[in-house]
Formats: sequence, structure tokens, C-alpha cells
Amino acid sequence: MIFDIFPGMYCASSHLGCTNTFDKVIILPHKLHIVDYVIGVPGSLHDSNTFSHARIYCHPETFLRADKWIWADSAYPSLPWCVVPFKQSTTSSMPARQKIFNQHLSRASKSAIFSVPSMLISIPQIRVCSEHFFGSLKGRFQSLREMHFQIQNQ
Amino acid sequence: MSVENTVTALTDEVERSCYLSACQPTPRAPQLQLLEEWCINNNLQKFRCKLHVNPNVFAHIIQRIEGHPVFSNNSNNPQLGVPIQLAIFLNGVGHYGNGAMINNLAEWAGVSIGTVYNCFCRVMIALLQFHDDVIHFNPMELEDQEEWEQEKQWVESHSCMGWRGGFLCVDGSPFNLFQKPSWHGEGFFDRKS
Repeated sequence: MIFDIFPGMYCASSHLGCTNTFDKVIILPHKLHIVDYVIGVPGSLHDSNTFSHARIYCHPETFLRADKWIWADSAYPSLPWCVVPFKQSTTSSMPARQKIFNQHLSRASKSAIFSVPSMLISIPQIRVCSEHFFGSLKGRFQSLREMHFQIQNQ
Repeated sequence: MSVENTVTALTDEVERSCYLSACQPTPRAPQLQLLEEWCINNNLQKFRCKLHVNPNVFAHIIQRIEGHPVFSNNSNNPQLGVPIQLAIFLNGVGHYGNGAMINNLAEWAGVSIGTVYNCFCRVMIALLQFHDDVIHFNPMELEDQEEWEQEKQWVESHSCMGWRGGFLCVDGSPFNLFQKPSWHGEGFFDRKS
């Protein structure tokens, strides 16, 4: 790999493929409005680890009053104010109730296979909103798909 | 004596012009005027291809940021106009890979590579002044409370009464870098790359 510009002090010494820096956002699902974010965390850190850098993690009470919570995916810690889908256990199969919960939390399609309790008739698309957010963000600002920019500072 | 004179004359020459060899101006063919033409001909598709916004949004952003002090300098050589700087910035952030290369942008706008970099920095600084207006979350503010209420209603209409309290979502996404940073570079790799 030959660089046409000599890399700066903190720039690449070799091109080894894509490296990642992680961004984490907390959004309102209805308008995809950002309310908090963490940015610039190296991609090697786990989701739940990066989450602990967020303002909401340190001070949940400033964001959420009692009996309010945020939706997250299964990589996140399960906390009183952070609701995650049930995890698949290796030994036993998942109870049907938990499956239904996960389905309603995560899925986007409207093909319900299970007979659902009357309180959960409509298929919500709540958690999938965060995926829509990243889709629309990276669609408009496509440079986020691959930053072609030299990082010259720390 | 004459040799000494020649040397002095040469030194003066170099000191005055600051160049050892004659400097050639680089050929340039800016394509910025096309944007204006597309705008007039209502060729919005091409305009959006380049800048990823509509002309009215573009005009509105200019109106919001042009008063920022970062766009004024204390020199006889004025900066590029704010519309040109914003166009360069939007073209840069709207593309990825080779299309967003700084050299490409410099060629497209008919400016130097350093100018492109400066435009990025200046526009970013000007835009960041609106950070707190856009990203806010204050339980004390009436506007935010109204928004929460709408949010809860939306969640309720998409699920059930019991899920009303969960009105926020969290998720992460990686932004790929094209070079490995040499400062803690290994830390930027994960299982997905």
C-alpha cells in the first residue's frame, strides 16, 4: 500500500482494512430525535461497555423519572431503567411468553405467527426505530459509511 | 567583486520572492457554477446528488451560519464565500470512499487541498453552535415535556398501555475509518471488521 501523502504522526502506519469507531445514540423513536450520544469510542469495546460512557448511564434520574425506561437490544445490560429482550438460554428453549415479548419488541414485519394475548394485538416497531435512525443518518451523510479523512490529532 | 555582487543580487531575489524556482499555477476547472444552473433549471435530482439537500434547505443553512465569526478574517485576502464553503463541506460529508477524497473535492471546487480542509473545519465549527438547540433533554422545560407526551402516545399506539413508559431507544453503530490510527490503532478493530 502506497500513500500519496505521508501519514501524520497519529495517522496510519499501514492500511490493514477498516477500523471502527463507535457511536452510540439514544433517540426518541417517534421522530428519530437524538437526546444523548457517545462518540469516538474505539470499535473494539463492547456495546455495554461503551454504554457506560453515556450521560444517561451515569445520571439516569436526569433523563427518566420513576417507571420510565429505555429500550435496548440484547447486547446491553438489563437494568431497572433499561429493558432488553430475553436472551436465548443454551440449555432450555425459550418460554413462549418470552418469545412473544421479544417479537413485539424487535420485529418490523407484520407477520405474526404466534397467537398473541389481546393486549398485544398490533405489532409494534419500537426498537427497530434505532436501526431506521442509523439508516437515515448514513444515507444522508454517507461519509459516515467510510470516513475518508485523516485524523491528525489525538 | 562581480561574483560577490551577483550572489548578493541572487540572495535579494530569493528573499523577495520567497521561491527558489518559478512556481506554476495549477490548472483548475471548478464545477461549482453547475449547482447554480441546476438550481435555476429546477434540476433538483442532480443538485441533491451532489449536496444531499434541497436548494431551499441549503439557502436556509447559509442564512443560519453566515454570521458566525469563523467566516471572517483579519486579512486583505477574504475567505471563500460561505455558500462555496458549505457546498464543499456538504459534498464531502455526502460521499464516502474515493468519492469523498479531499483531492477529488479540491478538483471539483477548483481550490487547494488545504482550503478544503479549512472549509470542513469552519463549517463544522459554525454548525456546532446549534448543538444544544438540537440535542437537548431537560425534564424542566415545557417544550421537552410536550415532546415526551407525544412520544408516549406514539409508543402506546404502536404497542399497548403497559409499554407507555418506554419512550427512548438506544443502539450503537460503527463508523468505519479508512486508515488505522497509529495511536492505539489496534483498539479500533472489532469483530465486524
